[in-house]
Amino acid sequence: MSFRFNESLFADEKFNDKIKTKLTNLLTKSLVKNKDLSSTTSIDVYNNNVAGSYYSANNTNTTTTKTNNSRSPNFLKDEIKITKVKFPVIPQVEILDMDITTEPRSLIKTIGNISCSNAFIQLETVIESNLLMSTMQTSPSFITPNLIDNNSFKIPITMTFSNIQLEAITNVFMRNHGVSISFNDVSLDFKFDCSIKLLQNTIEKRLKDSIATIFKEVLPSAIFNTSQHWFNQNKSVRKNSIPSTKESSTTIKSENKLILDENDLQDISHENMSRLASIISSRYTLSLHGTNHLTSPYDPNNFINFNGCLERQNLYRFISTMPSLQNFYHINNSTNTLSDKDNHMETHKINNNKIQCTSNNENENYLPQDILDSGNFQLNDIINIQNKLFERNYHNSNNNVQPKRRTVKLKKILSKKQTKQNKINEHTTTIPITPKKQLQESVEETKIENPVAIKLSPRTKEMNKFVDNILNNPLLVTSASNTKKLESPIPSPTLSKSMGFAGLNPYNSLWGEHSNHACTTDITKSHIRRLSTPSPVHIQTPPISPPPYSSTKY
Amino acid sequence: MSFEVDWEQLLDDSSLNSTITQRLDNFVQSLSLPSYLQDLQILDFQLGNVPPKCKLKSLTDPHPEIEPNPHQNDIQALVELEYCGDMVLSLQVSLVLNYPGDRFMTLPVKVTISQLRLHCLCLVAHLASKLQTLFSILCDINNDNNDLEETISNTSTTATQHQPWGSSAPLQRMAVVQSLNIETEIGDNVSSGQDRASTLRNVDKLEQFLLAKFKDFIRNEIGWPNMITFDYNSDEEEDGKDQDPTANGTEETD
Repeated sequence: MSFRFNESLFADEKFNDKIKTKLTNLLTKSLVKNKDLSSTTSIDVYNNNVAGSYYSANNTNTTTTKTNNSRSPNFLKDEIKITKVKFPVIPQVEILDMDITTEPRSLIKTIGNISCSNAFIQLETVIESNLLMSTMQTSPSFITPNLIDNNSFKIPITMTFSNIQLEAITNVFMRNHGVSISFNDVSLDFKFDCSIKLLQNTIEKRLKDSIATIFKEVLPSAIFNTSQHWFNQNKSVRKNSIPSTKESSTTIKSENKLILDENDLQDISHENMSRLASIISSRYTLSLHGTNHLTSPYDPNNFINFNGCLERQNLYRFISTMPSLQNFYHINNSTNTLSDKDNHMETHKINNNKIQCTSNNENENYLPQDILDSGNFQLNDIINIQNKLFERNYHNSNNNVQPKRRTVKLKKILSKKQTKQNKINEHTTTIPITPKKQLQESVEETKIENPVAIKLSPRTKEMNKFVDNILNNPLLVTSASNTKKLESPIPSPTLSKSMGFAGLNPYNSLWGEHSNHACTTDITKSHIRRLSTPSPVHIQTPPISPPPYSSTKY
Repeated sequence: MSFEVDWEQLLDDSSLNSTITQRLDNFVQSLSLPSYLQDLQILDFQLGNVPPKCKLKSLTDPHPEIEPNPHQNDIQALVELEYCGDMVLSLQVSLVLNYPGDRFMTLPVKVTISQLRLHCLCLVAHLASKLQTLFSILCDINNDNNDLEETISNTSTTATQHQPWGSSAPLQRMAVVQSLNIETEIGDNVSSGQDRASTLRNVDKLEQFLLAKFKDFIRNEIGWPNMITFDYNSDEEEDGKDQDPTANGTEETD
C-alpha cells in the first residue's frame, strides 16, 4: 500500500520554490543562531512555525555542543542558499506492514519503504578561503605572526547534488504525542559536484561520513519534534485524532491507583501487613491453613477479605458474582421455588459450581432466547442489571459519568408522518384525510408534490414513489450536543431500521469517540500489580456488593 | 407478535440500492471533515436480501427511569430486533497530509462493512406529552446455537473477542453488534501505474480496532442506560400528537 502524492504539486514550480525557501530558512536559522544575529524574515507564517519547531529542536540538541560549533561556521561568509530543487520522479512512500496496539500503551507501528530517485538539490554559499585570517582572529596575539596582508578572500561555492537515489526501510511509531521514525536500511547515493574542484573529494567524503548521523539522529529528532508541534498546536483537532483517544485512555489508566505502591506501603496497617505475610507464606508452603483466619465468615465466597482486594485465583468467582443477565436468569430458573433468603444462599452455591457453564466462559452478557420467548423476564431486572454494569464500568474513573441522553431534533417531523401516512394508505387503500393546516405546512417544508392523492398503481410504481418520497425529503436533524445541523437521508422508519445508526450524529466519529473500554473495570490488567516476592497477585476491585439477584435494592 | 417487513418490494426495485448509495454519498459529502480527512465517499450500498426481524414483546407504560410521570398517552414497547442479513456498505476516505503543500500526501483507505449481525432487545418509548420518542438498546439476546451457519460465524466473532481490546473489560453490558465484518484496503493501487505500488488488504488489527471502536460507539450512544431521544418539538406548533401511536398500532400486523 502506498501513499498517493499530489502529482500536480511536484509539477508545479511553486512547490519547488516553497521547498527551496523552507530549506534555506532552516539552514539560515541554524546559522543565525550560532552567530547570534537577529532572525531573518521568513516567507509565511506556517512555514515559520514549523521551521521554528525545527529550530527549537536543534536548539536543544546543540546547546551542549554550542561552544564547539561557534567557531566552525566562521568560514561561511554568507547564508547557505538552496538555489534549485527538483523532484522529477515522484517519491514513494509505501507501507509494508501495520500494527495497532492499544494496550499496554497505545501505539501504531508501521514498516515503511521510502524511495526517492533522481532528485536534485543545488546549494550556494560564500566561503572564506583565507583560513589564516579566521584562525588569527581567535588566536592570542603572542602566537600570531606579523603578516603584511591578511585580507579576506571570499569565494562563492556551488554544490550540486544530482541523481539522488534514496531508499530506506523505516519503522514508524505513532504514539500519544508524536511520530518517531527510525531509518533502518538506508541506501543513499548521489552524484556530488562542487564548483571548487579542489574541495570536492574532501567535502564528499565528509558528507558521506555524516550521512549515518543524519539518518540516525537529525532526521528522526526533527520529525519527532515537528510532529509533537503539530499534536500540541492542533489541540482542537486533537480530539478527533487517534492518538488523543489513546492518550486519554492512558491518563485514565494512570489514575487508577494501584494497591501496594511504595507510598501505599506506608499506609498499610499492621493487621494488613500480617495478613499479607501469611498469604505469602501460604504460597510457599501451599498450605491454606494459615489463611483461614483471614477469610470472613460473612463472605459467602470465602475469599480473602481485604477491602476491595481479592486474589487472582478468586477472580472467576468475583466475575461470576458480577451482575449479569446470564447469571441472573440461569439462577432464577433453577431456584424459582426457594424463598428469598434461601435464594440468596443457593445462588452462590450454584454459581460456584456452575462457573464453567455460565458467564465465565465468555465475556458476554445476554438474555437467553428461551427466557425471552417464554416471557419469563422482568423489564426492571434487566434495567437494573444493566444499570449496575454501567456504573461498574465507570467505577474507577473518578468523575461521575452520567448516561448519555442525546437528543435528536426532528424538525421536519411532518414529512415523516406524511410518509408514514402514505405507507398506511398503501395497505389500507384509502385516501387519507390530512388536516389542511398541517398539509400546507408540510407542503411548504418538504416540497412534496401532491402529497395527499396517491394514485394506486402497480406495486413497483407505488414503491418507487414511496422510496422517492423518503429519499427526496431528508430530515433536518440537530443534535443537542453538537449544534451543527446535518441531513439525515433516511427518515423512513422501515429503512432506518435496516440502516442502523446512519442517522446518528456522524460528527462523533469512531476515532474521536472516547474509548470507554479503556476505563472500564479492567480487573485482569490494570489493577494487578505483582509483588517482587512470589506472593499472590492482588487485585483492586470495587467494593464487592451483594450480587444483584440476592436483593432488590440497587 | 412480529412486524412484517415486505422486503420483496424493496428487492424488486433495482434502482433502490443505487439511489440509496447516491443519497448516502451526497449526505457524507455534505459533512465537514477535519483537515486530515478528505474525499469521504460511499462507494456502494446493498440492502441485501434478508429483512430484519422485529418482534414486539410488550406494550406498557413507560419505565420510571424513562419518564417518572407518565402521561396517559405515553407508551413503551419492548422490541426484539434481529438482523442477520447481507447488507453491504463500502466507503472510501483519504488520510491527508497537508504539509508542505496542500494535499501533499494522501493515503486512500477503503472500508467494506458487511455481515452485520444484531440480536437485541430494544426499548422504544413514545412520550406523547413531550412529543418525544426515546430509543435504547437494553441487552443482547443469546442466539440459539442450533443453526450450523450461526455457529460457524460465531467462531469467527469469538476469535476477535479475545483480542486485547475486545476483552479489556471482563464483562460489558452488551455488544449490540454481534458480528460485523470490516474489510480494509489501504493504499493506492491505481497510482502511477508502477508495478511496485501495492495495496495492503485486510489489515487484521486495524479491522478489529475499527470494530471495537464501532461497538463502543454504539454502546455509548444507545446502549442502556444511554439512550437517544427523538424530539418532535419544532418551533412551530403541531397538532399531530396522536398520530404516531396510531401509526404504530396499524403497522402491527401480527
